[in-house]
Amino acid sequence: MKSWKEWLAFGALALAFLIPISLLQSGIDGDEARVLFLRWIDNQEAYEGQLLQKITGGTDDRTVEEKDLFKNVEDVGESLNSGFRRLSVREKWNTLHNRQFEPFYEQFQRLAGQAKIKAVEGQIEWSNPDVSANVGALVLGFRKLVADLLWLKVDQYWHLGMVQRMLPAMETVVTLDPHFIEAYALGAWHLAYNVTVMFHSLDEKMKYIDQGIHLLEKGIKSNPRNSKLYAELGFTIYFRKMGDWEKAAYYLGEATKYEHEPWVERAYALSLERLLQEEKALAVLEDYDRRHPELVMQQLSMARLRKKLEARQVEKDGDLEHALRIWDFLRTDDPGDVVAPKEFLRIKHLLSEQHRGASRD
Amino acid sequence: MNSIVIGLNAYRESIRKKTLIAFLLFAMLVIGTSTFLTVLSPGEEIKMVKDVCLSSISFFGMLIAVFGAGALIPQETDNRTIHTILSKPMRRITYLLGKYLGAQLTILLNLGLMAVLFLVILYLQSRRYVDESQAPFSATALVTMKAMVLVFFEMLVLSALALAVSTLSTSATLPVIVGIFIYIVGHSVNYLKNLSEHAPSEFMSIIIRQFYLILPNFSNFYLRNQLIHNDPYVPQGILKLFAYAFLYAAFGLLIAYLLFRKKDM
Repeated sequence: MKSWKEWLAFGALALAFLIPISLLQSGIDGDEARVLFLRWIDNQEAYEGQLLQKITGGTDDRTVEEKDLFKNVEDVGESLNSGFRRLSVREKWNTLHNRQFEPFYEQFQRLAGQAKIKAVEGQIEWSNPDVSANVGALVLGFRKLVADLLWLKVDQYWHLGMVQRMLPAMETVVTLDPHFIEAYALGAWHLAYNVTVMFHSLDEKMKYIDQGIHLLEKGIKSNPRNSKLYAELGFTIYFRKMGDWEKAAYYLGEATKYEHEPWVERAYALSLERLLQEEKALAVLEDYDRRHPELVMQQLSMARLRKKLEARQVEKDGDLEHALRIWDFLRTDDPGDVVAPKEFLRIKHLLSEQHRGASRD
Repeated sequence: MNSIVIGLNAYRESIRKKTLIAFLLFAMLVIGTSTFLTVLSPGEEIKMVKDVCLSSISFFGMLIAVFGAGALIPQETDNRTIHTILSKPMRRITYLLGKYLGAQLTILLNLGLMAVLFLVILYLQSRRYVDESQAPFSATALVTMKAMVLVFFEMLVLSALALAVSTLSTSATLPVIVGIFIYIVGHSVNYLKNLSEHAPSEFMSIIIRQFYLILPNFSNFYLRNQLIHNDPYVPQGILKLFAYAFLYAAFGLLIAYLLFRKKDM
């Protein structure tokens, strides 16, 4: 009898441990899911920015439910904390614990379960349960290490010229470790530069550049606050490879919003300069100059930008000869400047038109 | 008080064990040689060092925890020294707590030594690969310490469960095998979560989910990897993880006491 009572007491004691353990586990899972919710909100904000600036080509591939949910979240966020979009992770996290977000959070979980939410990668257990949860569990907590070792294999494949093997390996690396920034950055660079030179057909080249862009976009989805990925996509791909100044300026501008290396701002100013937005570029560089007085690179660019603005003003005042001289100076001063020769030709054309008109009169 | 005496004694015994010293040396060797891997991964040198070091600390830490905690009681049973201790007017729970404390001191010492070497390697690497966007070394050291605390939390649970199994066994083999098995299960438990979401019936889903909630889940402590890589999305802190580890360790000790309290020595 005593033994029976003892076992009952131990059973009750065990339950007294197991119930709080299961509650804690639920709480930990809840935190993880909320972090994913937070990542999703950041992603959506970035995505909306892209849509507004027509970076994605204007096609919104989100479901109606996802769009509505995001709108509601943003409205509540703004009503609780003005400037919700610009909050840091910690501040946003605290705001998201408000009761008003509860129905949205539940809706988010439901939509994620129904695969109606696309714009999120985050934790691999969550984003792609059928495939990656199992891959993650298989490597017993050594996911990052396995991703690193596989990354070494990618490098080996590259040196052996096995490009076709590199691609699935790269995908696996970023599935195992969605926060492996260098894998996205180096992978995209490999695809857009080293792989494309192997092909002569433009279609084939574009296919690999697109894959590089896709890899970086995937990285941005998983790491929406990492400036390196925006900078790589903006500068390495859109600026240098594609010559798409508009997209380059957008992504480099996004990169400057988060903790970034100094060159990013200079690249952003350069892309604005290529978009003929000299005033904005000068403002970016002046701000940069105030914060980095020890660096000198920007001073040269600022001097050139002031010259360009002067040329534009002179042109506006009607002194085309003077404007032509300034653009001539600018194009010979820096042969790498793609704007100055075009502007020089444009002014030259205007001048010849003017002369022709004058001779007709 | 008696627990502390037994704990210190168990600690002194453990640090003399050749197996544990061998594991520590292996771990030090892997951590020390992690710098060579950086040559193969240009651009991600520090990441590679962090991943290799943290993984080896976690892996060898697991072996040290399982061998350290799992072998304490069987060894005493084998040497028959347990009889002289338990014949004294002392409660068995005191003895168990003492042994557990000794195991924790051993684990702490080993993790501490590995952490120091890890920090030295990190410091040397951060001086070698200077990156403007990298945080200062003091900040890196702080998150490294946080990550090490999470490794310790994991070991806290694992060693309690290994100790519980060891009360049943007369040799160290069983607790070591079961300990490693628990480690594997603890890292694979997320399968159950996935399974519960795709269960054919609501009833099955609830049952699987309950199993998922009460089984030790070591992937909770995977947060250490996010911490060490300065992922900005770690706003939740580690307080819940500490409570989880503490409760699970206490639960492990309860099982150990249940099995040990009337064991015929």
